[in-house]
Amino acid sequence: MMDHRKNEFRGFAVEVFGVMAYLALLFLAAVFFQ
Amino acid sequence: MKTEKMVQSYEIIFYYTGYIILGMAFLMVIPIVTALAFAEWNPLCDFIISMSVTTLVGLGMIFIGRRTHREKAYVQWKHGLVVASLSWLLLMLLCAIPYSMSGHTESYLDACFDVMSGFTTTGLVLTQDLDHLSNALNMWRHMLTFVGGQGMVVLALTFMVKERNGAYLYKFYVGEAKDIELVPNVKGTARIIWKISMLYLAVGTAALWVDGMFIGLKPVSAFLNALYMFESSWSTGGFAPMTQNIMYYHSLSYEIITMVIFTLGSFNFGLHYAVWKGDRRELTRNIETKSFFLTSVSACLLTLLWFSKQNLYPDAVSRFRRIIFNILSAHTTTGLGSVYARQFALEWGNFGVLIMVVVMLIGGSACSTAGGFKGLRVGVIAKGICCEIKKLLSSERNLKVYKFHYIKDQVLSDSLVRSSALIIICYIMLFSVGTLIGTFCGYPAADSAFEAASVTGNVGLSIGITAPSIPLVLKLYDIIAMYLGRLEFISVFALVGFAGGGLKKQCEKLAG
Repeated sequence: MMDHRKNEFRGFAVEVFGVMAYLALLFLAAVFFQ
Repeated sequence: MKTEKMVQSYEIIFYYTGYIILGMAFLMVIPIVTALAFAEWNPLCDFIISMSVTTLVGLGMIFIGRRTHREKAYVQWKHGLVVASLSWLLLMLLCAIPYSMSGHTESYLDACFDVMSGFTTTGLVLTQDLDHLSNALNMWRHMLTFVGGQGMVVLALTFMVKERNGAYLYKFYVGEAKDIELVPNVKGTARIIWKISMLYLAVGTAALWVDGMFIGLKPVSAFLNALYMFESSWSTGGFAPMTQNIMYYHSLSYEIITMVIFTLGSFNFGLHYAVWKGDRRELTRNIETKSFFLTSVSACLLTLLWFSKQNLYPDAVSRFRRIIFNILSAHTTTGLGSVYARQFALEWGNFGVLIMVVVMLIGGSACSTAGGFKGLRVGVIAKGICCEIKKLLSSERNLKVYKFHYIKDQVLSDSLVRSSALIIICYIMLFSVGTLIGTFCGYPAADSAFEAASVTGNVGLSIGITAPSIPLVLKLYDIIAMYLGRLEFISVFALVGFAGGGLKKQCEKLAG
């Protein structure tokens, strides 16, 4: 049960930080085209 | 077979549609509680009347179809499709009652427009004086878009119909364009979808709440704004409690949090589930995430390149907030806008508007809260074209089976490519009709195309056409396009076919 919860939490964190990294990449593109 | 003869199709359809309507009637308790909490007595009366009417209609329909339960009638595919499409239509009419009674809409049709816009997670608005809506009505608007995004038919049936044989629920599920099985049990699948959404609801609302207080909102107002903006972003809806939409908050952090939420909301629930189960590679292997990444990055880069010639948004932060925010909002079919509607027409130029039209039509992921063609279909068609070229260039004796990854490895069959192409053609036809109607009504072609793409893809961004004063034909087209776009055509065609077949039978009876 604990492993299951841990997996879910990790999955959630991976999704959120993955999207934030993607947005950071787009921000870098905005800096590049400035 | 004997049972099928005894219980008529309309009884089965009425029975399940009645349950869905009853489910929505129960949901009206939330705006009623909100009205009580904020001592809003007129909205309280509006919602009590609306709830009573909706409950009566729901119970009446269950009563008409009561033999379905008694005789254990077999639910066919046509029933599932018709129940999904019929319930969306009836709920549009019933859920519009509190809108209409509030006095914020010019006509009942405008109220229906807003409800359909909410259900389909489009986000276009005809309700007037948004800044002075009651808390109860604001709660209702954002709840509709949240529930519509997750799938209200599935929600109602999952929690209200006792499981006899779970397999039949899948037929309603497909009717609502959410044909995914996360676990073999359909009820289990729906519960996983709601679990994912509720967890994000808690975290996303908390993040926006704290940020709201940080930017100067009072705690209660910050909480309500956070809840509304989460519901709107996660369901890729685009509604906001204020006329200025996301610009009301004047906050980069608020915009970044909503961007994270609506990007996550546009992902397939199957993808969320796979990642949560521990399969993190799914994020990079899935054909939809690949397709979304490629199209969104290309659109952002092209638009940034275009604006670098215009020198309109001079610094990187304003480019991120004005260009990338709007491109992602359009691509995920959210519809939150960080520029005023007319700025698209006056500042973005033809190239910028064209990019927006393309990304609005492509849309988000299948089995998510997003609209549009969906990344899956775009990916399948692109892969199909590549495979056709490979086949032409390889030896005739080469019988290679081509595959793609979508939750699991799947064969790229001709039938899958054909069905994807057919749905995309339907979307393009609907978009073309909308553009034609817009130009016929006297609007410029680029503006008409923008607005047609927005309704067809269930986006909600406007270039300034959508207003209570638009011609009746455009309002009707918008309602139909939002409905067809959301349910992905098939179940609506089934409803039209079913109604047409019933009408033909009645005519034959009368004639013979």
